[in-house]
Amino acid sequence: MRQVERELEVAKRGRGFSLPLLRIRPGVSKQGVAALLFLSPAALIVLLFFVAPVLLTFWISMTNMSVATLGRTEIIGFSNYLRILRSPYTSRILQNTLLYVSATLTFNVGMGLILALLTTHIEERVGVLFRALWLLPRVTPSVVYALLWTWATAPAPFGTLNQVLGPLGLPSRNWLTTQPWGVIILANGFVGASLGMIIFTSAIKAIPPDYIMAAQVDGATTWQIIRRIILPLIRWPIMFVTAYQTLSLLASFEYILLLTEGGPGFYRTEVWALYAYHQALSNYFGNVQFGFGAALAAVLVAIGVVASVIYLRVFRFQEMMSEPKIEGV
Amino acid sequence: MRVSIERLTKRFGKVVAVQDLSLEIMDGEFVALLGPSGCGKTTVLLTVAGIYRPTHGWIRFDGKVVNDLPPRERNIGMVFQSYALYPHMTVYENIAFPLTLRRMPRAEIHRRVVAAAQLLQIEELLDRRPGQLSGGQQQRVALCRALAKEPDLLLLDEPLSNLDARLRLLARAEIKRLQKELGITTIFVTHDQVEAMTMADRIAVLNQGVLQQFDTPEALYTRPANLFVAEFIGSPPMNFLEGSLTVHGSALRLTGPEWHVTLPEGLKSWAEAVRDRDRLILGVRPEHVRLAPSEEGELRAEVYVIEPLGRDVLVNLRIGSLRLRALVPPPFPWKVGDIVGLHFDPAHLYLFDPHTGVLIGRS
Ligand SMILES: Nc1ncnc2c1ncn2[C@@H]1O[C@H](COP(=O)(O)OP(=O)(O)O)[C@@H](O)[C@H]1O
Ligand SMILES: [Mg+2]
Repeated sequence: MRQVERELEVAKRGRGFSLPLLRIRPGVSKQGVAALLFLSPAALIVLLFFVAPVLLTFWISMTNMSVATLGRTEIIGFSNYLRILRSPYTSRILQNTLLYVSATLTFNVGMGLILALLTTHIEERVGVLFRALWLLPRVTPSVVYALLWTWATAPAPFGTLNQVLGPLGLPSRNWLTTQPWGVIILANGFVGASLGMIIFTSAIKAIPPDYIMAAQVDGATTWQIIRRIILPLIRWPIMFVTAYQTLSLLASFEYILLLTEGGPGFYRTEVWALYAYHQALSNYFGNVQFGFGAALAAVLVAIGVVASVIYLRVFRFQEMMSEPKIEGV
Repeated sequence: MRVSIERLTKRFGKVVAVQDLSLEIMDGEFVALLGPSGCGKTTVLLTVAGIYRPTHGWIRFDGKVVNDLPPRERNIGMVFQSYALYPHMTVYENIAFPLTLRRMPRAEIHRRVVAAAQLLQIEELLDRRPGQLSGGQQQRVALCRALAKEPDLLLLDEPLSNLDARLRLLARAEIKRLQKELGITTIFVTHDQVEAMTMADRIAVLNQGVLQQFDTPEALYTRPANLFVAEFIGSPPMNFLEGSLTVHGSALRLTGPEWHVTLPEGLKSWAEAVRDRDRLILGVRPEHVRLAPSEEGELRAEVYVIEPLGRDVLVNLRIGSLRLRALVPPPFPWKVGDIVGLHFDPAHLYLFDPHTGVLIGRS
């Protein structure tokens, strides 16, 4: 013990623990300036297109700005937020949003995974063709795509779906009014799944074939290889797609707007983002309420931030960062 | 377990990776597949493992054809060249993985993992992840994972090629000892002839997917079947002198542009049998070349490069356009540019057919 201490002491004095390289100099070093320089374009974009609009939205949400009060806008504090809390529609719209986001997300990520796994386990050329087909909806303009769905789900004798199902003995229906959620989720899902499909496919293809062969020799079936090797190895892409799609689904409403406009009936398929849009920019009753809409949008941003933090926790983002390598035999 | 490879051909599209390969591997035997990179060694291993299906031919385990048996039903332990340790599992989980797939009881799995880890002295690594291990540690873990399942056959694909020289020497001895101790039939793939020579009971030399020779290390060294084996086995490689056969009285000579060698008694009868060949290749290993003062040797050569190796000196010599290597004991009295005389040990000369490369005979 003594000797170790003495040696440590000698080492300290000998090598000098006050090496200039180890000391952190106060103020901004040359390296710091370079880092700032490299970061500034991205930081500027974030500031300009994210932070600034959020702040602006928050400011508007504190006012009673609307078509009716345009000339005499006043700051009214958190009244708009209180109105959201007290509104009888809030819980309904929240439930709609939860259903829409979770169901579409499950379809998107699940289908993306299934497609990626299927197309990487069959012959390469067939797989490529299959994936290309699934990309078609994504390269189709939203309005055209939504129109195709309204045609497909139109009541008999026009709707394609009914024409197909009719000969099978199934009764014809007006799908958009009887199954609005089903149509919305599928319409969104068929577009959304392709993102996961592409990202998961490239992630699966990037797995060294040795891992798969080793697992085969180790006695794994195809299903066991998928569950115990492939899925854990593409955890990061799965997390990315899930988080990304959650956020984009929270904010998206274009297919709902085009297919049902929040109906049929009163707020049957109205989601939070669509509600904010309706209140702020396209009120049924002509009274566009910017302030209230902004408050709704601000809540959506908050939900998005909370969701992101939860994702980082659940998928243990920290752990995925590479750990230091320890050398030695 | 006895492994028979019968007339195995494996093609990938137009590429013939393995052609008409037949090997009979005894129970408990340690066989090395030796050949340059790209000659089809890994392909043979993966076909035996069941990952690839033979294009033609059969794989038999203890006499039973296993061509249609999926890998998971073959009870094989394999170490991949990359080690292929699953990066998302700890060392313990890596070793336990094949066992959990067999639905073995937890206690039994634990017992086996710990026993195998003790055998390879990696107990203190069990909680780490592969990314936190050095190359040598990864190699041990990979071997441990392959052994913990108590396989009937062990396949090792260049397990030492990612290790530094010192570690390679250690691991070489250790794998050899382990294999003999456990008595597992083992196929070991390497491109390094020293590894193959030092570790294997028998070596199969492959070139471009074709088997050149399958024999003991001693036999490959003393009776190489052809030029490829003669050059590949032994370090530094054998010297080759191509010339034509000429008759001088009762003596037979091989004559090149700037040299001639009188064939010793032991080679004469072989040479006489192929007298109609216009050209022949004489082979002599560097350790069988003797140096002498210039007026004494049968041949005269210029010292070109001197490479002291400690125990020996490797001398590069030049006779006109011909280069020869000699391995001689130190001290080395000459210097670069000196002319020295050469003798070839008459008991260790080889005669090859230059067209087919086949060994005609040796003295
Ligand atoms: N999966 C594969 N697809 C196509 N060609 C392959 C494949 N595996 C190996 N080959 C080809 O077969 C030959 C032998 O390869 P390999 O068995 O890996 O050689 P080695 O292990 O001796 O270096 C090479 O020409 C290689 O390019
Ligand atoms: Mg190989």
